[in-house]
Amino acid sequence: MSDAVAGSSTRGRPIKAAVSIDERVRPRRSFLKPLFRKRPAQIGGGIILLLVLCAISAPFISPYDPYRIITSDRLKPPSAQHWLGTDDLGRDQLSRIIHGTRTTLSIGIISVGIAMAIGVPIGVFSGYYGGRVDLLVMRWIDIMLAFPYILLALAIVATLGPNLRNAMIAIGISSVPGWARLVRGNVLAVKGNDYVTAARALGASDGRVMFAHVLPNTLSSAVVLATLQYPAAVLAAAALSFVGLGAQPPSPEWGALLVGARDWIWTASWLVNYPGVAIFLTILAFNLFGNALRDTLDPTLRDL
Amino acid sequence: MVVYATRRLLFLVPVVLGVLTLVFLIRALVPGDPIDILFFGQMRPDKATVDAMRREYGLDVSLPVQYIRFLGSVVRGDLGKSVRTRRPVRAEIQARYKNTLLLAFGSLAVAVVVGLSMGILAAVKRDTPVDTVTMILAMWGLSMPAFWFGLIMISVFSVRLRWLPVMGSESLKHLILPALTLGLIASTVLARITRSSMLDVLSAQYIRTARAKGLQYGVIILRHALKNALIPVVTILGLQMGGLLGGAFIIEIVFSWHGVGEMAVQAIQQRDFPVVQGVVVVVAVTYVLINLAVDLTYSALDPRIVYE
Amino acid sequence: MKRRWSVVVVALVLAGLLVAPGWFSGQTAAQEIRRGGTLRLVLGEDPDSLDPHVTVSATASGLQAFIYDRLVYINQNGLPAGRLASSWTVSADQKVVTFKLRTGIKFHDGTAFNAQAVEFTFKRLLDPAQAAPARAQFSEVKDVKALNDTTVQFTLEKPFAPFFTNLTTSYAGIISPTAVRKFGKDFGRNPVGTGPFKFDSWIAGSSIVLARNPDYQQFREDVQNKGPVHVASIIFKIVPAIGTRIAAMEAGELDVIPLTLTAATRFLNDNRFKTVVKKDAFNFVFIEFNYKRPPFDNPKFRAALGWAVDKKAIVEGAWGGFATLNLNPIPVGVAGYDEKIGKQYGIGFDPRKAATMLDELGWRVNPATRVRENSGRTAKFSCWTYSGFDTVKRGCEIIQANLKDVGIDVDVKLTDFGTMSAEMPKAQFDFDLMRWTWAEPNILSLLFKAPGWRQLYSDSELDTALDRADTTMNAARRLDVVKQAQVMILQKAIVIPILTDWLMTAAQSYVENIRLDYFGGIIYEDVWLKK
Repeated sequence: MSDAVAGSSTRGRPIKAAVSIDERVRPRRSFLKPLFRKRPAQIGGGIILLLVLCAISAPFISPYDPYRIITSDRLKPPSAQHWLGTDDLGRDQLSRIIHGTRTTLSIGIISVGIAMAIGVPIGVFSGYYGGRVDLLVMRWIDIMLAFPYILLALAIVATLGPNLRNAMIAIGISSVPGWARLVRGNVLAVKGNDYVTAARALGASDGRVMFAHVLPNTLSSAVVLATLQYPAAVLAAAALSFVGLGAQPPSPEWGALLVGARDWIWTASWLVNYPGVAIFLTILAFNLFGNALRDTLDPTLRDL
Repeated sequence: MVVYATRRLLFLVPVVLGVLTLVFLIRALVPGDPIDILFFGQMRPDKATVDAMRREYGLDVSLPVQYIRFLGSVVRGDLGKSVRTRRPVRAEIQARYKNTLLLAFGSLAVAVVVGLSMGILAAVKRDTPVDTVTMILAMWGLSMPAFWFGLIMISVFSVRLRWLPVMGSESLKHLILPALTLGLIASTVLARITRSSMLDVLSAQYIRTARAKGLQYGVIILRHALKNALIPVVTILGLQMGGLLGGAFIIEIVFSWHGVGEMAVQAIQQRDFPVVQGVVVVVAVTYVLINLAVDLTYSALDPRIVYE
Repeated sequence: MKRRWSVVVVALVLAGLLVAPGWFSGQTAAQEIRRGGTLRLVLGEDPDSLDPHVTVSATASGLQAFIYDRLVYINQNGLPAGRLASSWTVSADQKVVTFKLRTGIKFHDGTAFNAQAVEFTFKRLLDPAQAAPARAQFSEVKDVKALNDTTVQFTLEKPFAPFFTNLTTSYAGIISPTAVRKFGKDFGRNPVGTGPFKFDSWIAGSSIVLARNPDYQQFREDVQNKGPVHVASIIFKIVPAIGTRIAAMEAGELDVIPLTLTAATRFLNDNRFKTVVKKDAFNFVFIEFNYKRPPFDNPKFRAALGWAVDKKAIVEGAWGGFATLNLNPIPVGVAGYDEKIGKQYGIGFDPRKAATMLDELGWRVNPATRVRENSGRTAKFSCWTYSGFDTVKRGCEIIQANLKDVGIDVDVKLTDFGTMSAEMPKAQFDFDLMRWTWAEPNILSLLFKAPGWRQLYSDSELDTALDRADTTMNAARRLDVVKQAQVMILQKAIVIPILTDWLMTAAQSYVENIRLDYFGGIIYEDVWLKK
């Protein structure tokens, strides 16, 4: 999707003509207090908390079994018995959306997790060692970024099998280049710092320098990127469902619900609107929270 | 400068090569033979016919050989033949590419006009209700699934009000809704970047100097602040274009806007690999060229940035 | 002055009297057919080619039917009747068919239609170098020869009952030899036939326009309009997304669209649109199995699964009620369909019977997991179907729920056509939900004659029966054999038939005179636009 925020970084381009690298600091332990004083963080954090609670308690708070098919109750508009109406097989939408919370949350965790797990080490190695390794990695990143992600996702999903888990893996892998680039940029910035030079002078091994000193300093940008990439992952999963490569029935994944209901927008608009609202609120929550997080941790990351 | 540009253009080669190799790798891994799919759900022709078709498409040789042949033909500008329609892929893409470009640039235009104005307005009127409202709208744009938004647009403007056509890519009138859908959403990202960038610039020394000198505020904004504020904006624009080119396929499908994205999705589903390969090459090359343009624009905007 | 005025008044009154009869009879007299206008129809995709010897896609055949006429057509009684052919004779051994052709007909490019053109058409169709996909349907044709300008003779390897029906398909359309020689490989983009519409233009990916053939003569008796068609042209807009079509119809941008479930709910009860519903259609939806993989090689197991599936729920839930329950392994509209066979041999819905059968086969419910097990094997299977269609997707979900109720766990796999067609011959699935459309009783052969269209099944008893069905030229006796074959198929539970869905179409209110032919298609030669 056209959300350039996700997976982007400034490609090492200058954002401000003069920024002192040393202005970037490690996240203060006490960043939580100022974070939650901001309104956006409160709203965003509140919604996320609500989602997590829903996910955990889904079987208990759902009024109906989200998979129960009752063909005589098809396509009922929202009413007292079904607060969000029923779908084309008579299943209660509220229950399906509640259960879908689990899937939505795990999409973000798994895909962002994979992207970080692979992308961060690549970025660290590339930035730290520099030279030819770095050049090769940058070219590879260019190639991957020029490659349409849906094709990559198709390849991975079709090889592994079309289901949601493989879709998440596919999304994760497609986001790796963006992460690698961001982390590399940070590493380059930090590499010349005094304490790094000092550690190496003291004889610390490369690995130790990387993990003890360089990595923690990329933490703030990593955390911010994670929260901001989450929405992109959710949307990407919906896009894959659009092409039939995402969640399989009867999974109540929100993207699949939204896409599956697209033909019903004129006869049963509640089937489109409620999942849409759910996706919207989730994305909004992560954006708000991510922004507030970024503003607290490191305002110089405003370009993200 | 010219040397730099030439060097960057040379980078096209390994990028395209890499992209093509990736596509071929995918072909090797992904199940689905285009000939099988052509006859799915129908009477299958006899073996002689199928073999003849395979020969026609060069599918009768091994994958590595196909790879070499394909690289050779790309150099000559021949992107192969579509398995489904038997027409040259170049012709198929040519018919639709300008539509995708139209949509991308149209959305970009909307995004720039709306986004920049919103961003500048918010920066200038900082911390007033105008600022808050603008930023709330920006938040909305970031969080709104484009697909849902597109459906709502059709519902309101085409079906209920009948102001604009539902589908097709015949005229510029057909461009309005899809461009608005993508553009409005993209404008929000731009608005935020513009705002923060403008804020940075507005508080900088040289601006305060200009104000102290008594220059009119409007002049200050336009001549001094804006040019510098645009630098990060241009970066994001470059990335947006990439996103618009690649991710607009959903909008193309919803609005039946006959572009390359719609064709690519169908080609993927039908395993029409020549078409997929062709689209990938074209999109990749466009993306690289756009990035080059973005980088060159930088140096135009900020003489301090010099490339060796 | 006064005289001038009175003259005017008289003139007005006289004029009024002349016109007045029109005022009153306007509504009751037959409506004056308005000629002209552009009819806007819709296609799901760009056809790959309009050359009948190059493509077999359904999209292409729809268009080809407008451009090319065929030798014969199927009339309202379900029997072949002459179209470009005026009559024919069949030899005693049933292997030679001689057609007498009509005269005075021209192709769209002005050249004459004659027996040599017919010979050219079919020789090209049968030419191995041409590699026409439709060749397989005419594999029984040994030779085609033009005896003179108006007589053409077909020689068959052996008697082939579906021969005439195959001749009515668009693949058997008569093409202009001159045009083929002129355009060569590009003939598919410049089709020339003798049909009621001629090819006008094709904007790839966007639309195709066909214009009226001003010299057209209509020989079908089921068509009222015996001359050139009423509308001036037809434009086919290419719109894959169903939602977009619905919106376009609502906004008045399309004139006629085929209705699927979601669209049907919207338009069927709306007075602003005209709708046509054909219930005895030529399709059927069924569950088929991977016969090479146990336990699906056991007919009793397949039957047990069948009894567990609530087919009425699938009709109501998955197809929204827009389908007819069909327990026969043949579409409702195809000759040979007999409701009694379904009632007597069909596999209905009886979950208790299913449970008992499963128990007898050794599949017992494990009380801990509530899933059945047999000698260590758990009853967990995968059900495939193709994506992009709500109906089969919902159907699979219902099957999944039904089988869960009897202790069988089912994984539903929705895949696009591509992956499905690749994976299935490799036998990676357990069973799938499939839909087939074919208007001839030889659908049974196409599906079930070894090795079966999935290349996974063979049964010599059934093969013999199907062979007989294909070679019996006497219509009544043939249908008897067809019915016998159906009984066999049901007894062996080779497939579990579920329903035949309805063919539905919606049109704007100004589209007049919508009538259906034998196959349920709209006769566009008779349609006119009242605006």
